[in-house]
Amino acid sequence: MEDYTLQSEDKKLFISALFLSGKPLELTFLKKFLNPFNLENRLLEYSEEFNAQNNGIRIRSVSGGFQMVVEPSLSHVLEQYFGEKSESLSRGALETLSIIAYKQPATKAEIEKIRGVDCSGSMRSLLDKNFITVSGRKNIPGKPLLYTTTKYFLEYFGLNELSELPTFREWQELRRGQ
Amino acid sequence: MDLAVTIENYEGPLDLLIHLVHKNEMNIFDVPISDITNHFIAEIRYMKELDMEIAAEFIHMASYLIYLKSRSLLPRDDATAGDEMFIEESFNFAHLLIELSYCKELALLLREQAEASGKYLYRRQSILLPKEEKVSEDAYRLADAFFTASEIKSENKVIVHSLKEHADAIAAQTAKIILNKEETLWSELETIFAEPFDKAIAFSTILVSAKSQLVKVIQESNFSDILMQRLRTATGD
Repeated sequence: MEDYTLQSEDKKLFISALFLSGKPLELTFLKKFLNPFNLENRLLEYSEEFNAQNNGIRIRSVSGGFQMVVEPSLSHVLEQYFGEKSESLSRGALETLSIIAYKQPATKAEIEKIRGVDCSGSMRSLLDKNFITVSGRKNIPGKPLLYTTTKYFLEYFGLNELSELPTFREWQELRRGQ
Repeated sequence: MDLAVTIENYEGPLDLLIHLVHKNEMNIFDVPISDITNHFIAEIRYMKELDMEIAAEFIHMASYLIYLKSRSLLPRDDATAGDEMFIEESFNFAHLLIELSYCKELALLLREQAEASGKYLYRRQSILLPKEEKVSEDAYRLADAFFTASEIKSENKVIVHSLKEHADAIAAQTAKIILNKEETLWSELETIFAEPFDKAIAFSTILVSAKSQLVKVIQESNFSDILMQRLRTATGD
């Protein structure tokens, strides 16, 4: 009985924490104030239960955490009133970003070798928008900076983890088969 | 009259190469150097006709392609090291094109993902709950608190010291009693020292004295009274 009340308390805390949070909440964070016993499965259960209510708000798994979002089917109405002008990424920036996602951690020179053009501008904009970050220096002459993608990158593209993107090998097998 | 203007969208020579591969329906995994070189040069000529400024890297790429093409036309001699290097070089070039082609498709996939994910509206900034603010301590108050705490600590030390003095006094008293008389019983000492701490000190004094051959300790059976017989008078402690 005590367990039951504890769990229902956990569910309420989980949903209200998602309501308050501006970024996906990870398991390690939620463990701080929720009963850690079988937590991951329980959270998935709570999310399913919540989504089954069909309230226009869903809990989705993204970037290795949980996030409360408005259902996509409502966005065209709500966008008019709550929408914010946002720049979509340019083709060049997206290409640079996909090279980093594929090669990471990668130096600027490695990225430019694949693209064949100067990437300073697109990399600066990706850094500004928090899609990529500097993760260290490569141990070669000149010690160039190494770039990797961020958690926000996963969140923005609705990915749970990087492995959801096709790898170079998978892509080759697919294309060669065609 | 409608005027149709199509602008090919490419950035840099590698981009143009990929574009030509797709335009001419070539297989990206097996790009014929000779054909792609011809197409590339034709494209550059076309750019010139349109009076476009051709960037140096396009010319550089064209010359590199011509180099690869001419090397591939030369008769091959497998024994020379130069040939191996050339094979490696053309392999690396082909691999680069494949990698770029993969990244371009990945970019398209990411765009689709972003569009799909962009339909989910969510909060970008957390709602922060007001919390009772803790008054930050200034350096002087911290220093003051530190010294007060360290003073308390030194007082503690004094207490330990006084205990030691007390123990010394008890030990001296015990030694005096057992060395002044020929025979002393433990029960006598027990009546003098009521506190357990004092008894413990007295007992350890007896042990030390026995060890230094000052007294002889006799106990007939377990839990019976202990008799201390003086062997010689103490010269020191």
